[in-house]
Amino acid sequence: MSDLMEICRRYPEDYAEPTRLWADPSACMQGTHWEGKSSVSADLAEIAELMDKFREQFFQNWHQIARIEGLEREILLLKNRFDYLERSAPLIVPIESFSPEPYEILKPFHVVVKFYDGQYIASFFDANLGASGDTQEEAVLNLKDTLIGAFDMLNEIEEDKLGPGPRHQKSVLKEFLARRDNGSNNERVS
Amino acid sequence: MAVITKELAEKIALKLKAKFISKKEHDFAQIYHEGKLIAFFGIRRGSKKDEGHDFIPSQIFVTTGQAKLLGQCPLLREEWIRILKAKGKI
Repeated sequence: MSDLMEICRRYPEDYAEPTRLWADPSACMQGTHWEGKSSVSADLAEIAELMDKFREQFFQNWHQIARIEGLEREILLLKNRFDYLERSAPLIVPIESFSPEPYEILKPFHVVVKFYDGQYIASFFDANLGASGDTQEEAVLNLKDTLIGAFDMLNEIEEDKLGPGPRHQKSVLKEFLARRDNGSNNERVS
Repeated sequence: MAVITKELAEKIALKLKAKFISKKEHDFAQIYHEGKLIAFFGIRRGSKKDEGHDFIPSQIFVTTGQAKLLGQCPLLREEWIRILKAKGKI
């Protein structure tokens, strides 16, 4: 930059105007004397116009980006909500076998599996029995084990020692399942 | 996070003076009153202490909040018996 100033000083007649403008660049914006002589003022006006257009475009884009980001956030929230609803929607599972356990189904029944607080709970509402698990399958397997355990346990207790709740549970379980005497025959013990 | 964890389920069983009986994969907590079994629930053997057992409240005929209070102390066995009597479960 100092070299350029030096050249301007050395040849003042040729570079008087550029030297003046170099010293005071704001004069570029006012200089009517430049009109017709050079395209510099026109270019600067164009730059100002371009800057305005750029600013306008920038804010438009910025609004669009902000809007897109907002929509992305909403889509993510809706996706999470949908995942939650999909998981929490109750699933009805038919129970048709207790294999390999020596129990048979007298009457097929359904259990309800639902997602609750990070776990799956399988319930057989008629017998007021339930079990939980990390997955739907685990919850159903645990419920089957609970049903068998409760069935055996209730059968070991005399009828007159059962309160209304357990008595009802026992009668429901007896309606739906029976124990085979051994793994092969269908003799029922109740 | 489950409301009724295995740890809390065991506390509820102790609070209700349950008698334990082991079956294949579950320990059953049996609650007796005046010589009669009035309620029972299974606790999965070998499960982690924070494993969920949120099916228990309905099996002891109370809400999840009441079951939690039973495990955490404020609700006494006698009060639970009163709740069951009011519901015709005894």
